[in-house]
Amino acid sequence: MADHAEHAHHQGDPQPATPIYRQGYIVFAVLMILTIIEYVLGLEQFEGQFTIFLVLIAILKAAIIVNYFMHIARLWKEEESH
Amino acid sequence: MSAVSHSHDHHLHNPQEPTRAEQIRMNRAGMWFFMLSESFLFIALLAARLYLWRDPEIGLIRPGLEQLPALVATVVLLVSSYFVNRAEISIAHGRVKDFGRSILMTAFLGTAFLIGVVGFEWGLFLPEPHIRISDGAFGAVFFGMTGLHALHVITGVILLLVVYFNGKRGLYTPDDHYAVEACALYWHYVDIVWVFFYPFIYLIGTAVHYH
Repeated sequence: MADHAEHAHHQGDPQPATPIYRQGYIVFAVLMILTIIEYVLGLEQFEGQFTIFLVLIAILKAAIIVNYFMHIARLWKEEESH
Repeated sequence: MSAVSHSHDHHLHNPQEPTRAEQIRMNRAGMWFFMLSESFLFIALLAARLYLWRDPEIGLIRPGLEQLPALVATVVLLVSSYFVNRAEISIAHGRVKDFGRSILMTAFLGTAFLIGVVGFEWGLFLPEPHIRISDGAFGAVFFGMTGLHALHVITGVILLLVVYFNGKRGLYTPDDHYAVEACALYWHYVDIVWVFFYPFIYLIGTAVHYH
């Protein structure tokens, strides 16, 4: 909260901003890698051999988004951040 | 979007009413229950796909659609998810310009995804569509899945634009931006639906070339 208040008056978006976005970059990169793996496993020459892996990768991607982008842990958080 | 009470004056706070923090927690829980309820609809479509796109001899099948446009559309939606996350972080840190740019970028990418799926996959911009709604089970399930998802993308883009213009009016602060969080949750949810739809439509099963 104090951190937010400290930044609140910086309407001009001062640099550097990288640290606050770092987790987003990493999560995005992991999701991209998983998507490329999915694409390769789904190519026609594999004739549907990797169905279970494709389902598992989709579940993993969804879990990553739910945890890191949707912050499901906030549901159980007592302290309110905003 | 936000039903958050703004009664900050603790001296006048009615103990019968929830505090602002409690109200936000309830709104948040409501949003998750809403998304959970929507999931049943999308799971039903996935079940229809698994049941109808099946051949007694070769097992799971899928229409032999072009793979690359679907991959590009999927990447576009993933990038948009990154930007809506960036928008939420930006407003929480008072970075108003970054917030506005990120929200607009998300809306732009969402629109690009729509053009990719509806314009090209549905064949609106092509002389000969890859798949038609009259193509039996393939057509019915494909248009059912992508159509319902596209409706959610359109809703999400509208919500993003509402949040953008509210942000321009200075309605959100680092301490009070639940509407941004709810909009971001919705957009991530739309992304998650596609995380499952993409492999189930384009990757899982043996490709059948039916035209």
